[in-house]
Parts: sequence; C-alpha cells; structure tokens
Amino acid sequence: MVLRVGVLGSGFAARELHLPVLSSLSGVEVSAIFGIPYEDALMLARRFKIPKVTDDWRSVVHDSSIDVVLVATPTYTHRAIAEEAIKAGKHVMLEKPIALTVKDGEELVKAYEAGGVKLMVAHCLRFWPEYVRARELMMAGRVGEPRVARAYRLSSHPGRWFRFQELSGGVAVDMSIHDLDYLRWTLGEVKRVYAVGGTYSSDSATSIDHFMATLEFENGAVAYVEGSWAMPRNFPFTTYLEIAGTKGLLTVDNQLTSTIEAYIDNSYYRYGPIYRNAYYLEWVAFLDWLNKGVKPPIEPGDAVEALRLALAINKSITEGRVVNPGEVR
Amino acid sequence: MVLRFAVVSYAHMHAWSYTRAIKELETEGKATLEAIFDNNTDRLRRAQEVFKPRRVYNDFNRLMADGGFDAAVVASENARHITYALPLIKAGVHVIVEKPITTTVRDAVEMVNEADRRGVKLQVAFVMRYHDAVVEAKNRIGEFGRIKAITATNHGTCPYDWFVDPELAGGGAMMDHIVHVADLIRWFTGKEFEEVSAFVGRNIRPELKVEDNGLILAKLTDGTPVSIDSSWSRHGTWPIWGDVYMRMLADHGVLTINAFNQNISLADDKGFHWVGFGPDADRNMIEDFIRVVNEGSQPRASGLDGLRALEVVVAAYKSWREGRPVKISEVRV
Repeated sequence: MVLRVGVLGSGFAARELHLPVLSSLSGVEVSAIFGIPYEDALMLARRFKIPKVTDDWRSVVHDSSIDVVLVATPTYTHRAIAEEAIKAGKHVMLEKPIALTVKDGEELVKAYEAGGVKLMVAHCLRFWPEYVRARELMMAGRVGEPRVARAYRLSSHPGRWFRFQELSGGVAVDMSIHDLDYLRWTLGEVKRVYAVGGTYSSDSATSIDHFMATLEFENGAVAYVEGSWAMPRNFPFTTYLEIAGTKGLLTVDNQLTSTIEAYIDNSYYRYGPIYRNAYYLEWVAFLDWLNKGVKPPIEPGDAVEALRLALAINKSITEGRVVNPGEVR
Repeated sequence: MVLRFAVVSYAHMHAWSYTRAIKELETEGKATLEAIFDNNTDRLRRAQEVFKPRRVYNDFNRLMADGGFDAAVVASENARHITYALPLIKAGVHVIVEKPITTTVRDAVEMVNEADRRGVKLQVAFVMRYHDAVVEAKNRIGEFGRIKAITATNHGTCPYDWFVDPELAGGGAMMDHIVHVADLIRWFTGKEFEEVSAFVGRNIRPELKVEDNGLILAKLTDGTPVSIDSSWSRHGTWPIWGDVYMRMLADHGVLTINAFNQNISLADDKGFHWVGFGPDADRNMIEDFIRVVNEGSQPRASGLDGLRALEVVVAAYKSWREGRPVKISEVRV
C-alpha cells in the first residue's frame, strides 16, 4: 500500500530536507502541497511532480485521500495546523520545534494521545549518523560515565520570520533545541539552567540570536550549549559535540569531517554528504511506525521537554538568574 | 643591563621552560641564571643538572641572605607564591610570578601594593599575551569593531601532583585554567568582569579532592557575555595536553584563535600524539620582562592584571558554592 502524503509548507525544510527524501522513498507519494506564497508551492509541485497545489492548508488537512501530513510551516503555525490534522485523522510528521510554548506542545500531545493517529516530531539529531554513533559509543561505556559536554550550533541569520522572538522563539527554541533534545536523550533530565545572550545581529528584530548556556543534569553531569544566528554571511554552518567522561573523551566537529572540498570560481564548498542522512532515516523510522508498528526513537513528549529546556534558556537570559526547567509551563 | 635571575621553585612545570628561555638569553648576553631554589631536593638536583646555575639553594632564607640577583621567577605551588614573592619584592627584586598570582584576593592585593610601594616590577606570567596567534589577533581585532560576545576554552589533561592538593593549589581546574583566558578577555575587550556564574559537574576523576571541571558564564561591565570552559577534560591519551581557544563575535565578523593547533601528527608505539611546532611564547615573555625592567616601563601583564583575573576565579568558586551568579564586587577586597 502506498501512503499518500500532503506537504504543508514550501520553505527551506520542505524544499531542501523533506521533499528530496519523500520523492526517493518507495511506499509514499506526495499527492498535495500547500504553500504561501502560492508560486513557491507551484515551483515545488513542478519540480517534485505533485498533482495538487494549494494556498489553503485546510484543503490538504481535510483531503480524505491523504494519509499523512508533513507540517513544515513556520513554528507559530504548528499548534493550529498539527492539532487540526490530528483531529482530521491524519498521521503527522511535524518539524521541530513542536510549538512555541510548553502549553501548546502539551495540547498537541493530548490530541495525539486521544486520537488514533501517529505524531512524530522531526528531531533529526536522533538520526544524524555522527550523533547516533557518538551516543552508541557512550552507551557502550567507551567514555565511562559522562561528566562534561559541549555542543555548538552556529549559523548566519536565517532572516524572514526567524527575526522575531514571538514567531520563532529565537535561536534556542529554533536551532539549539536539537542539541538540547540530544543532550537530554543522552544524559537525562536537567535540574538547573543558566544562560547569557541577547540580540546581536542586525538581521534580528526581536530574536535572541546568540546565547551561551550551562546545564546541570540530574546525574551530576554538566553541559555547555551555544547557539548562534549572529555569525557572518560567509561563516560555514558549524556543529560541534564533545563528551568528557570518567573513562574517555569524544569530540566530533562538522568542520573537520568533510569528504568533499571544491573550489569553483569565487566559491568554496566543503561538506560531508551522507545520502542516507537524518532526513531519510527519520522518514524511514516514521514509515516503519505507520506500516509495522515499530516505534521511532522519539516520543512527542520528548519534543515538549526539549522545548521546555530551550524556553528555560530564554527565561534565564531575560531574568538573569539560574532557572529550574520545571518553572517553565 | 644584563639581568641576573633567580628561579624560585620548580613546582610548576613552566619553570623549566622559563629557565630554558633565560639560558638562551644568557648566550645572547641579556640575562644570567644566577641562582635557583627549590625546597624539593629531587627537583632541585634535576634542575641543577640541566641548567647549571651559578648557585643552588634548598633554603629560601639563605638565597635571600646571599642576594646578588635583580629579578626572580616564582613558580612554586600556587598557595606559596606570596610566601616567596613578598620577601623578594620587599628586598627590591623584580618578580615574574606564575599564574594565578595567588590563591586569595587579599594576598594578591598585598603583593600588588608592596610592589607599588617598593617600585619593583611585578609581572604575572600570562604567557598567552606573548603567543603569536594572540598578538596577531590583538593587532587585528580593531578591524572587527566592538566585541559583542566571546566563547573561550582552556582545556587540559589533569596535572595531578600538588595541582590536585586543595591547600597548595587553592582549588582544581577552575583555579588552574580560568585565569589565562579571563586575562585575554580583559586584554581584548578592555572591559572588566561584572558578574560570574560557574556550573561544576561531578568529577571526571572521582578520586580527586578538587574539582576537575568548571563551566563559566560571565558578563563584562558593558554586558558583553562570555564563556570559559576551564575543565581538565582531556583524557590521558588525548594527542595534546589541551587547548587555548577564543572565538570573538564582533560588529563586522568573527575572529577565532586556536593557539595550540600548530602540530605534527605522530603515531608510535607509545600512542598517537600531536607534536607542536608553534611559536615560543615563554621566551617572548622573559625577553619582554627584561626589557620592562631595563626601560622601567609597565609589564604587559601586571600584578593588577593578575589580581583582576583572580577575582574572576574567586567569584566562580563562590557562584559554585551558592548556586547563583556572583558580582565581582562581592569578592573584591
């Protein structure tokens, strides 16, 4: 049986991450796409041979021929769209972050628990090969008990609706939520958070676009997490992970693990392609859940907890004090 | 003038490279290694064999009574810096003291005041100010506009020995590793620290009596946020002892220093190593100290700089104990 997918969103995540994977996977076909502006959706429909194009997301959510919807719209629309899709009986793949507030996230989890459909939040670090391998090494005891972690995620500014804290949640909620989810998945629950940061890029309106945070975990480990959208235009997207434990130390740096280096005219590329990448693997995991009942390595509740940590960082920055994540509701 | 040096204690391993620099400058007619002292006879004998100083002492009072030197390098255990440096300063000897300047703010203030009163040079061995990558960055940072945020690390392997003795070291990884980058942050920004937070995890090495990790977040007086990872988080088999890393976000771009990245990879039957080929900051520092004494100018890193960096460390320990960010004004004497 082929699952029919409706894609909601025509921005970066739909175009660059999900549609290339969906068009290559067997067992799924993309039968509709919603996007604003309409011409963006139309372009993607032509490129990926999608029969139905619309600027009305409800017409996709309530299309009875559709089994699954991908919600890859801006974060401030996640709650409304995902909730209506779940209630319409669609399985939902929801881009991270799950929502802008813990309450909205919890409402989505409630809707999921009440309905007969499946909801997966696309926390891709749980599928990126270097992060999965690093976690496997830790679980195998190769670094002993984890004690001190470092995680960076540094980027130039994404512009558009990311400029507004009230629409994107800032760099902690939008981007570093990846590292926060990964560290919680790997090290456990967080007791205390302290963070410094602010709005540094002229591309930001209200967004906190650069922060540095320290986290203390229940197991006594600590972590330094840094996220930035304030890097210069020509700064390469940089991710870094380091875990020091009682028996060893592991580090992985995406700037030191490239396998392709190319100079062409005035441009320069350096990256490490893996075709069975996180976006592919997360769709395989979701389809395995739908088709075979095999649960993916992330529950909707995990996405809410990751959001709670990101919001604790924002709260600590705003209030200038140590925050217990439990204070964020 | 040829500066006559005494080296006081080889407890800190940096004393070896500082003495090596003095000996090199001796061949150039700029310095002489007049005397060495160590209360540990084994260390003293090893240093004597390598450096062949004119005089050798295992009694500090004898060294002071005999005199005959213009300047001294104090590289004892942290808590004993004041024990040796203060009598030297009072005797009119110019002093270059290993970092941290002392382990308490009160001792540091006493040393700084005494040096001022006697008119002797007191320099703190913030050797990173003499590393070519740091000097290069310092010269170029003006092109970047105002510094808006700094991420820094001074990671290391665990140095063990007296460095893990709470009395002699005055603490663990935070006492050992905050000051270098705290000093560089002050030097690059021209701003002081305002408020400091420390998160310290359970020890990587549970057997130690001092902390072996520390994650610092701080704000400078103009609100600039900075982070310092001071952890001894490098495992014994890591290919290098550690790192000094600084990434500065400024108005017009980002400047990153990775000072100990100039290495040759070497695999042999002892393991995998990085063998450095970087600049000789120790020698640059000793040479500049001689110039400062001869010209009567100000040290690049003064006793006051040492005091200000130590205040950050003391605030970090207070933050760790009390679980809250601590203002520098709370620890200032």
